[in-house]
Amino acid sequence: MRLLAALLGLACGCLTGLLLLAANLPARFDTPFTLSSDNLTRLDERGTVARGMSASALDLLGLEANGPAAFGDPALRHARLALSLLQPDSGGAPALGVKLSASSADNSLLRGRLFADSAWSVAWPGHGSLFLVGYDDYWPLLADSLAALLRSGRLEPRPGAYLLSGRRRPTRFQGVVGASGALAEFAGRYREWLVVGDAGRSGYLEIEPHSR
Amino acid sequence: MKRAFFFSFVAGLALVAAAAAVYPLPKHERYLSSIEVLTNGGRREDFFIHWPQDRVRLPAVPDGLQALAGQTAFLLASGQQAVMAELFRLRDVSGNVIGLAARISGQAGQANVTRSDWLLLVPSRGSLLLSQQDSSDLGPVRLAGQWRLPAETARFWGRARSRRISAGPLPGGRGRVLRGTGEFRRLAGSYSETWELQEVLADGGTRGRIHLSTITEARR
Repeated sequence: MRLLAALLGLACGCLTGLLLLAANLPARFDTPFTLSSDNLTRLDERGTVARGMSASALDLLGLEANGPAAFGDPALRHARLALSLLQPDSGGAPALGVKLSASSADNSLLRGRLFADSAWSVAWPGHGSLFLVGYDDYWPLLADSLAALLRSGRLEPRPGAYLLSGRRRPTRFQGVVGASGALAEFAGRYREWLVVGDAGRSGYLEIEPHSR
Repeated sequence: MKRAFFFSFVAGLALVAAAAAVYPLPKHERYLSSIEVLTNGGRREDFFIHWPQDRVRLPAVPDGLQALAGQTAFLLASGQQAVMAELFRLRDVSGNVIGLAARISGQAGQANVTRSDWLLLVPSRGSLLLSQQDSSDLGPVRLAGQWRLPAETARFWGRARSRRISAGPLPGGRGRVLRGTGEFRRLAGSYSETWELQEVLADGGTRGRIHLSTITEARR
């Protein structure tokens, strides 16, 4: 009987530990990353094509096998290159977007960190370009995937929009760090959303501009 | 029995915490960095790209873009204006592939002034963002109704074996290192971009290397 109680206690302890990990208590103390909604420019990613890691929570955990688009070079195993057409929701001219990202060196399950560091170049023909640097937080996708595993046995996040830049990181900057051409005086902050749909994944950027 | 349950419950919590602490999250392969400390301050680090073999081929063409050079360069055209993204692997001075690079070029602002930006990512160290005015237009040219990459044709080189592409905006015709992240985050400075021809191929194509030489120091 005592052995049964001990086994039950161990199982309950493990389950509670997993739930506490998924709830990501350290993140509760982080400042949320918010933008003013008055002056947001939204750029929708259209037909993104990528090479490298798949940029999913499982990939950042090292649990996903390398696909055909993965790089064979040892230094690039956890890096990703993506190219998109970025279409402003206001109907303006589209831009070319290049995103380079890699899993963060300071990721830690115990501290609730599952980040990828990323850099964007967004260029409009004949107009100018913007450089954006930031980080993508994949913990909400991981937590949602684990919840789906408990519910339905499938390790897939629910369809919906996930904010990749939901938490401020004290040691990392997230914003527009450079501009050229007609956009040379442009500065600001941005955040990125990942949209998980039945047909695949897409995303969009929201940029809050201000002048230098 | 209650004590057995309580202690094993705590043991379960500790087990999960220990597993999370020691779980082997992916780590980036890192090579020894080769950085030269300059006598007048700052540090110099050189990066190389070999063309055509270091060009990164994408498995498909994104909607709305045109592919060039075997789906390793992509063009977004709007009227007579265009921007182009070229995708590469990045090497250190020893020839190791250490990261990824994207070169985005096009005309911006003044007519006939070509600009280019570089996005360099070294996964184990961080990223560098570079921007410059170009001395030669390496951007796509329209020949007989087709967009082409001039540096990959023998005609572009003539008798020259190398071409310095950086033409400002900094003194000495050097481009600007705008910002870095990770290990590069406190650095700013300048860079030069030189394309060096190694061989003209029988089919009229070319082989060579791009040399990016950065000089950076801590931002004030």
